[in-house]
Amino acid sequence: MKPILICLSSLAFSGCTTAVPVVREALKCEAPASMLAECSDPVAIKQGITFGEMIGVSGRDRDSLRECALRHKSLAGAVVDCNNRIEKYNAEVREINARNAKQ
Amino acid sequence: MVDNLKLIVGTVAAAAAFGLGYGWGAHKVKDLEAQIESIKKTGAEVDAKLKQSQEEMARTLKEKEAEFARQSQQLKAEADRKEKDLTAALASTGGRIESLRAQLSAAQAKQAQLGAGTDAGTAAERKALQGQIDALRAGMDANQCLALAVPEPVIGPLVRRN
Repeated sequence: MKPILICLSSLAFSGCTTAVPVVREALKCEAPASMLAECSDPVAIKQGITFGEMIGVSGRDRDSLRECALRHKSLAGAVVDCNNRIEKYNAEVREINARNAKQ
Repeated sequence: MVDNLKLIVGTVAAAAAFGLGYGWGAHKVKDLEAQIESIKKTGAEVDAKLKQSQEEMARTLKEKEAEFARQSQQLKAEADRKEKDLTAALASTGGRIESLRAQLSAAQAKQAQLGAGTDAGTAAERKALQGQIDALRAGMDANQCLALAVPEPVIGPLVRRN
């Protein structure tokens, strides 16, 4: 008898519960991993390097800098896009809040 | 008799109190339910906006990533090509010096011929030849320079910074 009563009480009380909306997480700006990679270090220069080899070192460093600059530019662009999207979302939330406040 | 009356009055009073309490409570609950419904509706609306925004952001980032990958690949290909060109150019330095030397010898021989002959070349011809010789020498020096080691006082600070 007792277990039946407990079950019936549980069922009865569960009907009274209301799922309360929880506070949602904010928008996530997950930049691609390829854009988060670190820039390469400058090429090591050895003692006794020739002028010809120095041109090669300089060329490789320039290429590396160019790649780093591209990555930085792309990442900065992605962050700007994220911020714009977040701002748009926040404006929509503000609009909903304003509408609710009027009711 | 009095006891029965008391029981009836008590029961009626209790039923009335229950009814009033129930009515008041139901009214309160109705308000709360309406509020909860409104909160749920707002929550659902915000959820939908959040989901839409997140999807749009993911799409934008994916496009950015694809564009970055394309440009990066282009840079890499360009860098590889330049590296190959430079390696080939440096490797052919020796051959180029030999070729410049041969051209210089020929020009010098011609210069000697012009100076020694009775029908010595005009001043303009000699000047042009001298210019050619100077250019050949400069080209040879520049190529030979590529094989020279950078002086220690110059390269030292860069080596130590590694």
